[in-house]
Amino acid sequence: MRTHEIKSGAIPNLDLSIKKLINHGIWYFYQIQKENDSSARYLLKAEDLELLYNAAGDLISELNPNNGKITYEKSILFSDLEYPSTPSNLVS
Amino acid sequence: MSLRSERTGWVFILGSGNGKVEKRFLYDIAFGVMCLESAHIDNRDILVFIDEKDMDENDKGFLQVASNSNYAIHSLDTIFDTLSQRSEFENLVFFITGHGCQDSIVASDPISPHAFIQGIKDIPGLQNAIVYLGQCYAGIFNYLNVGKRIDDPNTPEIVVIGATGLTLSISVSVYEDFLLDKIPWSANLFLHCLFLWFRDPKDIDGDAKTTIMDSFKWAGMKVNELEVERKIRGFSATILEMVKLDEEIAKIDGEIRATQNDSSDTVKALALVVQKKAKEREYNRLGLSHLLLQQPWILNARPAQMIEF
Repeated sequence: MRTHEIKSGAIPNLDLSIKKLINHGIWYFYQIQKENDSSARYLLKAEDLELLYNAAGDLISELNPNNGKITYEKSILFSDLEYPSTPSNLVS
Repeated sequence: MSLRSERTGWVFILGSGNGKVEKRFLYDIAFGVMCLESAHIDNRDILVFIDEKDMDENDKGFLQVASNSNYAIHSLDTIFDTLSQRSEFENLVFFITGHGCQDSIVASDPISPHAFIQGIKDIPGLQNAIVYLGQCYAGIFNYLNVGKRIDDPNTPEIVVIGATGLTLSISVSVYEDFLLDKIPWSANLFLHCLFLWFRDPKDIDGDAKTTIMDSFKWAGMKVNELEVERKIRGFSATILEMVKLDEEIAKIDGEIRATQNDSSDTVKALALVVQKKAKEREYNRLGLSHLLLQQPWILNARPAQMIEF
């Protein structure tokens, strides 16, 4: 699965704190297809929580893994928010 | 002797407390595998042991970000049986990521220092083992009897290197180039610097060899250097951000209390819980990364000066 960068404004209703955690690799955000739920566009993995969001970034519900297959399409990052540093570049 | 000129197995270990491993630790392993492959380690000599029986579809292929090879992922509870069957290995190098607690490596079947070292000693024909411990409280593996027995030349020399003593270990957000994408994750900083050394080994003590001792010294120094730079650069911004987050968390707490008597909008209530969790997570990340210190250590240092990469 490839990583895909988008502008943070493309998912306007997703909280900025969540977006920052995603860009720091602490929480994970995926574009998905979900069987039985065409409104679900994204899946957030926030430690013990797995949450479904619509295309605008509104929370729909917690994921019920028994209710429809999830197909992962892309891992999402936000190109206009800060990324962590790269130790490979810092050490020499 | 040199690990690359003799038969050496490279072993990654990841435990889990609840049967489900954390993604960040999978990326630690993926980065390590990528660095070893770029140092021309044969993928057939790299073994990955993970403490999760039913990884989800998304996690199963985690090594694909780092390698075009197909790796079998072994179950952690088979580790010593599997390694005993690979009798061609004269040397084994272990990299342990994941969580550690005050008496063991966290796993479904917790791994105590004594049990782990004894498991290594019991592998038939093993000459040398190097154990790199990235987890919290790695220091519980220090001060153990790990040297080759004078009266029994068939016992292995075991060198143990810990990222930290009797404290938490440092994980920080990093962003690295994998095969196709740049990926951010919260990396174990000592293991990360160690993998960079294996990708591009350096002689620190000037003996014209790149030894296990050099890996210890280089990774330890680089963790310190990166941490000092990061803490100085981010000090005032971190404090201001933490104060702001504290206020925001208190505000969300108020909103959560206001919704507690209203059961009509459960999605809004859940959204507030997620928002609060995000801000608390960020607060802890900033706080921990500024407050933690770690000092690496090495046990059985003499063979480490002679074992070359």
